[in-house]
Amino acid sequence: MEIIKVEKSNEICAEINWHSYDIFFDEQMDKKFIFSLKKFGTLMYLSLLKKPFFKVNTNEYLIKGTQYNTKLRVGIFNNNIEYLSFILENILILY
Amino acid sequence: MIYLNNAATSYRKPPCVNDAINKCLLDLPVGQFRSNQCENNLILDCKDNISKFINVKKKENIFFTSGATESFNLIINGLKLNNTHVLISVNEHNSVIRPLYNSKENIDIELIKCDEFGYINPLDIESQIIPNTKAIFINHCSNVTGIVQDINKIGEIAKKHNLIFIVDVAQSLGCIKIDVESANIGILVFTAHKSLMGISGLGGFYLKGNIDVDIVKFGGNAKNSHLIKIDKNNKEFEVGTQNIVAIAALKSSTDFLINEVKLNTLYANELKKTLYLYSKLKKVDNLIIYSNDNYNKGPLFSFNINYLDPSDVSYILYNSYEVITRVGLHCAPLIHKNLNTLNKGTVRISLSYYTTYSEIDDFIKIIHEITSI
Repeated sequence: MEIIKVEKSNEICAEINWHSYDIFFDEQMDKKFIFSLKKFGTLMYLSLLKKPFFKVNTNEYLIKGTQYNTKLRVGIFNNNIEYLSFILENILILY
Repeated sequence: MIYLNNAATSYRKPPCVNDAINKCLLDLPVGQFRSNQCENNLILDCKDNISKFINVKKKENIFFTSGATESFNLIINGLKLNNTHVLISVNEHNSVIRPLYNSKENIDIELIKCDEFGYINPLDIESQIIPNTKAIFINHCSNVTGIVQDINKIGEIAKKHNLIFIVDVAQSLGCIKIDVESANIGILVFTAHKSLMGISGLGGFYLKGNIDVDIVKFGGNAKNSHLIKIDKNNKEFEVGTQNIVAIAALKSSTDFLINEVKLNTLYANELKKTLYLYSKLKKVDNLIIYSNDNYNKGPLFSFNINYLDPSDVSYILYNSYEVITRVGLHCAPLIHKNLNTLNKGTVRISLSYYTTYSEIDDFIKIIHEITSI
């Protein structure tokens, strides 16, 4: 699994000072990948939805997406780009 | 895909709108002067259609702008509100709030008393009127809760106290009957691209003839071009090149609504679907709807789901179920203090003439699925 591209989302959440980015992968996100995100924080996984939803939430950033899709969203509080770099460097480790 | 974000902009548009836009762009801009790309009288005919939606006799009192936001900026900055007191509802959009609170004039802005959902008891307004109160700003149909204010009764109070009654109908024009005369409305602000099914980049306002609004935007209008100094008694609010393409689209969409759908059918259609959706949603466990049975309703609701962030709900709806909604404060921050949703906002769903019962039923099933996890 590889990262194809990272885009600043046009769906800004700047109303409450969160800035969002979409990370695109070359294949669908599966359960194994989703559970590997526990390394970033507590994982919420809603398995009973049509496409299961997942979210990792910290005070500085959040990661969320839906299983079987090829992109996930990263929200960064105060648009602190260091956290985005940290996530990009580590998101595929242990997967 | 189910589109439930019509309060942001309506989708789909009547097919005739596409045809009107194409025709407008393809027609040769003939003429010795401004070469407007339009058939004769397009602008006046479009205003004539708008006048049928709001029951005004003088279409000359309707002015086109780039949208509701420009309209409110022109009005608020032209009304001479310095050292006056104005009453505004908590439902106001930032297109009203920001021009008022950022005005260079000294304006005493007071929020009108209301209940927890932002509904105003018109009788409460009288106690807030003071000698220098000049205007009352009311958002007819909240773009957050969908609750519809009783503008007829509020208008009576405005008339009794000789106040300018300014009504934002951005969410209601085209889906709720509005009568400028019976509601004593002095200024009414609308947009083209929501329930009127035009396209973005066009809105406007109705200005009752006896209300004094200074012109605050100047430019060419192909009239009296030799005059540099403008007589303020001339209500030349439409300066610069008009958005003819959007006017052609609005003329076409309103022709369709007036002549083919018929306005009474249109209003009944939206109300019936709204009440159907509300009656189903109000029974769903873990769903908080920011409205109740006591209010008149426009074709939109806000809700939250217990234990889930609204941004996650909207994300799930789109990414798991292909339903398009809007999340956040919806550019109307004051009402969220009442709703206790200022921190994270709400999820908003909004219908249009084209929303089908099948789509509504699918959405209700999806909500049951999400709320039962």
